[in-house]
Amino acid sequence: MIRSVALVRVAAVSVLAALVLGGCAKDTVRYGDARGVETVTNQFGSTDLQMIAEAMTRSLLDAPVVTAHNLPIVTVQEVRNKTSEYIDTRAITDSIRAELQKSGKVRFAVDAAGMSNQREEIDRQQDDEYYDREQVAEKGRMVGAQYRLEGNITSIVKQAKDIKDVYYKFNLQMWNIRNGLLEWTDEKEIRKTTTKG
Amino acid sequence: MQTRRLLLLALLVSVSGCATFRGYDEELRATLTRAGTGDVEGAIRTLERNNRGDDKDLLYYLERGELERLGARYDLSNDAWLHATERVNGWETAAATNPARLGGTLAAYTLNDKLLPYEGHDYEKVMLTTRIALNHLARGNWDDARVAIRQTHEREAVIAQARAREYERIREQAEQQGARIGLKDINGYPVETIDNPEVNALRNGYQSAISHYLAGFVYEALGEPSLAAAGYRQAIELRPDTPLLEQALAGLDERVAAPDDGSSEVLFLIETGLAPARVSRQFSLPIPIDRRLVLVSVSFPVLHTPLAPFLPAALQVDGQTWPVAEVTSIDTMARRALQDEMPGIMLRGFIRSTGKAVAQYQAQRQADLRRRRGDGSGGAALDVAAIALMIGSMTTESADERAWRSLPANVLIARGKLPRGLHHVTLPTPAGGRGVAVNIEGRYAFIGLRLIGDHLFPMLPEAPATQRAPGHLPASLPREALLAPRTEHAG
Repeated sequence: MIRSVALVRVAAVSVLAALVLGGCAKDTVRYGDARGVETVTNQFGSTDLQMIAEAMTRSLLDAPVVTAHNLPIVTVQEVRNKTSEYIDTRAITDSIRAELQKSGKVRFAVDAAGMSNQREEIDRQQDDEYYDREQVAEKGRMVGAQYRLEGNITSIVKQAKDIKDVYYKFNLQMWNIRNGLLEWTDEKEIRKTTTKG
Repeated sequence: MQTRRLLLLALLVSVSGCATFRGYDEELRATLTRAGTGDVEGAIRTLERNNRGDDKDLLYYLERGELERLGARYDLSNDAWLHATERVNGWETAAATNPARLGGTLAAYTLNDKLLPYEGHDYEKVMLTTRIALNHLARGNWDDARVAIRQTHEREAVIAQARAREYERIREQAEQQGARIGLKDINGYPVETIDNPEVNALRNGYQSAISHYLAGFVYEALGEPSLAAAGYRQAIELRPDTPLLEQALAGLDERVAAPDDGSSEVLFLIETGLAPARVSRQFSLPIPIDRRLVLVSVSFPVLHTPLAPFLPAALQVDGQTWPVAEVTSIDTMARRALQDEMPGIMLRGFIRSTGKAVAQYQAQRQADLRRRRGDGSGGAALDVAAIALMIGSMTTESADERAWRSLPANVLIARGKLPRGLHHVTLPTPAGGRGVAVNIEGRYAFIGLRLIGDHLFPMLPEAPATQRAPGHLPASLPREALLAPRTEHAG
């Protein structure tokens, strides 16, 4: 009997403590460093995206096709997501493109995803009499890309009782559109391990 | 002093027993019966009658949104689900920042699980955003559907983390309190209803193939194949050996690269039946009192399927047979959810019952002591207290029956290409084929069909598409295309 009463008391006290402590907590919001290391979960995150974009940009800027100072014209194609995670690969290629553009060593032609908008805008200028005829964008003046960037991201996930290991491999390639030669390629590997406890 | 405490406790428990605890199964039965006959307005009126207060809970908004959706009023449906989302967002914030708050209230540990604020079962939280996405698709608003789908991914991640922590905490708490009881210790509990190969084959109780397949379809329609691939892949992992799911991934690159040939990629989503009911049943649980195990009557929820499952194998589109495949069973997910929730339900039941049994035992013991000391009136008062405790504990002991009941039981899909324009679709039902005319436009089209009993609710797109993806124009339908279904009894 004593044990039962003690059990109930312990239960009541622990439940009360949890409720009181839980009820007292207040939510706070704060701004953080957008480039700070994020380790909330081992899913693909902002730090992974930044690491990949930085590594690929650095490597591409050192590639002979860029250092030859010919201002190569590049179009960005799809980076295939071969993982089971919802990784927005366009966010990665957008970051790479932004850094390369800022370097002033590479120019970008409109890609397949942006072509529809480009075509619509030219048509709109052409068809609208409110625009100055001398300055409207003409059809047939767009510049085609010399190179195309494409790639893929794969992952291997292993999980045991108290440990989860995720390995990502991001591969990017630059192809010469005219002759089909591979001008540059590089890979970035990331390993993240979460241990319980 | 102890006598006074016992009398106070007896009063509290018996008064609480007088309060009406919500019997959700009974409450929803009339609503769903009306909905099943196509009387959506009547169903909404019944729901309103049962929820007269100003402070409506999550469950009201979940059911209301579903009923409005059955009436093809997608804006009103999403309005209700927006209120539901606010409440689930509160849970998400608590789960992420302060998991201790999810442990339950003192009342749930002392009186009844029904006194826990309803936060929704995990599969309901995920289904909420998935269904909001379906409403956006029906309105031709693919970009907003994409937002709801992103919320689904994020919610799944929050649930995964919260549950991992909660299950660990419950296990530790149960060990501390000596509540080493499993499902099989509840005498007479139909264990096989929530512990069977089909239920155990699920990865968990909240991720569904349909949510991820739908994500894949929306990302594909919006020209985002890298995200679409992940959606299809997740769906395949969650529901292996389903050729329709595998075909979506296998043909993704080809479909995205293909020029517009004037046809539409059409996804039919067929939902049948109603989600299972949680029904309170009394069982006996061994509780340690005075170094002995005493069987105490405790209530636990048991799942009951309200409608016999109906899974059509095919549908007819302009006389052609399109194969249909089941991709998600919400019925099975609900069973898995209950299996996962049972350790917590049992722990609370154990603590509650131990407390109630010990209090009754103490009252009887004190009454005997008083009588032996010659205090007859004190002994009688404690006898009354013991009886009040017994009655109170019996009346307060009923399991929580709350669950989103108007959800479908089964979700099936059919997919293929159709020329743009008007088509005639026939879905088999237990009472014969039901036909509906659909107008397909754009490169991608989505058509929802909901079957409750024999009644078909077509969830056809209601407005022209307002969003455009480059080269991938989703389907749109004028309001006039929303034709009333007609019954066909083809031989």
